[in-house]
Amino acid sequence: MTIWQLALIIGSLLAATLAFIWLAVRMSYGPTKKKQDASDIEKAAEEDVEHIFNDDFREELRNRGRLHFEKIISENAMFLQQDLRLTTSQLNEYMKNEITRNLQEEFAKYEQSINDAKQLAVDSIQKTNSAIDEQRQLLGQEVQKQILAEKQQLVERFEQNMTDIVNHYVLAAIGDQIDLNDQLEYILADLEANREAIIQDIMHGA
Amino acid sequence: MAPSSSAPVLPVSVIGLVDLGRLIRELEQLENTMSSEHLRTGKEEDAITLPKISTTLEQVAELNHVDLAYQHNRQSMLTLLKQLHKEAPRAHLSFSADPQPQFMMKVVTWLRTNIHPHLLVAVGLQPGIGAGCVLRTTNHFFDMSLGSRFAGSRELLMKRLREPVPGQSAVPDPLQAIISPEVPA
Repeated sequence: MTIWQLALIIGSLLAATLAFIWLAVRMSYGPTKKKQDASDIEKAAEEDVEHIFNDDFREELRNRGRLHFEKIISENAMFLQQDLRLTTSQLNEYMKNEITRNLQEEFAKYEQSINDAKQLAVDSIQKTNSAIDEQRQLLGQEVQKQILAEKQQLVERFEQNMTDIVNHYVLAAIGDQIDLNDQLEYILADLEANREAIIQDIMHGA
Repeated sequence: MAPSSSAPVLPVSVIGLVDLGRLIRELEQLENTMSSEHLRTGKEEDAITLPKISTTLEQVAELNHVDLAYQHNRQSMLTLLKQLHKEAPRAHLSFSADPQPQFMMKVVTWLRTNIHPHLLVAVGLQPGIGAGCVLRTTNHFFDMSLGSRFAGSRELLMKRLREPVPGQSAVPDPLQAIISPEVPA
């Protein structure tokens, strides 16, 4: 590489750097000028607006706006009143419907609860009745068994004490009419029947 | 006359121990009276008039062929009666009512004829007997009452109770009638 070539390259680089710097400076000074122009235009427009929209015109506009606003307000108030009435009636209707619906639902629930309670009570009564019937049947069987046992005991006792009963009956019926003299033959017959035993006991007794 | 043997004959009017005791006391009293009369008057035994004695004692003397005017007869009889009071067999006879003397005499006659000639009978009263009697000896109890007769004939009594009454059906066994009652058609 020759020195010329080296100088050419360095010269190119310097030229490119200078071009870049110039471009940067150029770009930084451009908008400020535009802003200043726009500001001038705005100031001119404001002056024109101030000239056109003066205080009288503004007062007239304000009056007209107030009237228009009042008109709009009154119209809106009317609309609002109508809407309010409509809303009130709708609300009443809605409330009525809601209350009716709620009441119907509550009544339905209440009726359902009553029906459930009624069914529960009926089931309970039926169970109680069945239990009572069962208990009554068992009690009846037990009572019948006890009565049978009692009757059986009475009959057995009657048969066991039959002789005493008949003896008591005979004594109560004809006891006063039995004379010992009439029994003499019977007594002697009994003594005769037991004679040997009596003799044995008297002869060999202590 | 002396007592015929060592076994005197008791009249049926002497039923029990009480009558025998009364007879002994009367004989002792007679002995005392006759002895005192003999000592007081000095008369012979056959010369002393016999005082009035009870019918029972008269019967005893008559049945045993004893002349109570003589002291040795009275002493012998008294000894025999006291021996009887100690050793005679005894029985207790109960009736439903108080028996009359004639009735008891018949019973005692039978007992002394068929059981023992010196049997002494104590009479008791058991209204529950109804009919018949109850004899209690030394070791035994002979129930000859109506209740005992009923108890001996219990099966017959039950059979008669279950027999059908004319015009009615037979009475069933009460137990069977209760256990398996028949439903009338």
